Amino acid sequence: MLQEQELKTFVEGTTNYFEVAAQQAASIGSPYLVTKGTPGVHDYTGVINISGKREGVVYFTAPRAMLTVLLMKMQETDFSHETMKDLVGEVANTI
Amino acid sequence: MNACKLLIVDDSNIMRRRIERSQQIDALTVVGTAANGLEALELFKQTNPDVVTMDITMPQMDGIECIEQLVALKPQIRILVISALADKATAVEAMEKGANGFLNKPFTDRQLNEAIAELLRRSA
Repeated sequence: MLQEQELKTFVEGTTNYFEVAAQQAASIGSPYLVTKGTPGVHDYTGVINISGKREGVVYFTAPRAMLTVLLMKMQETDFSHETMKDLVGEVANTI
Repeated sequence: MNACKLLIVDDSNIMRRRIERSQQIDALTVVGTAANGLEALELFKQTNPDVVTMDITMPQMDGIECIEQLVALKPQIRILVISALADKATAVEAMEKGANGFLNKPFTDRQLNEAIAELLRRSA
């Protein structure tokens, strides 16, 4: 079972990412994995495996529109499928 | 400040473009970008950079091994590690292999330019 302090690492990693990369604070909601019987998956999903003291995955999923805004904040001009995949991987990895 | 050549190493296209776009040090010219350590070594032979920004987690050859090899080829090279791995052990290992600075992802343009400028100041 994850402890509160360990969860905080991911919460802080996520909020810090958006504060710095998007110059916009992220709001924190209640965690969930499944809604209405199906996993919460948007247009693009990045998954990073974690091993060591704990094992599991960091899972970042976002709609294309949100990723487009994030790329614009980063002054990126390429909004291709490849760039979207690159971005969700980078976000998951950084978090 | 003398003109310096910069090589950018990161497995993310977005990050390579971001660093290239954001670095605003007049004395620096980007001479190449590489997606992993092996590509970086190839580009090093072709371009002989003075400064390298280096990701750590990359396929084929990671940043730590690449730092070691670059320093062996050119001891005076300046290497700024830019990584999401924020743990102390990674930073210490990178420094022990020869890196000269460490910048955590995510970073602002200002943080990037300050980190590169500090690297150049220390090597002047």
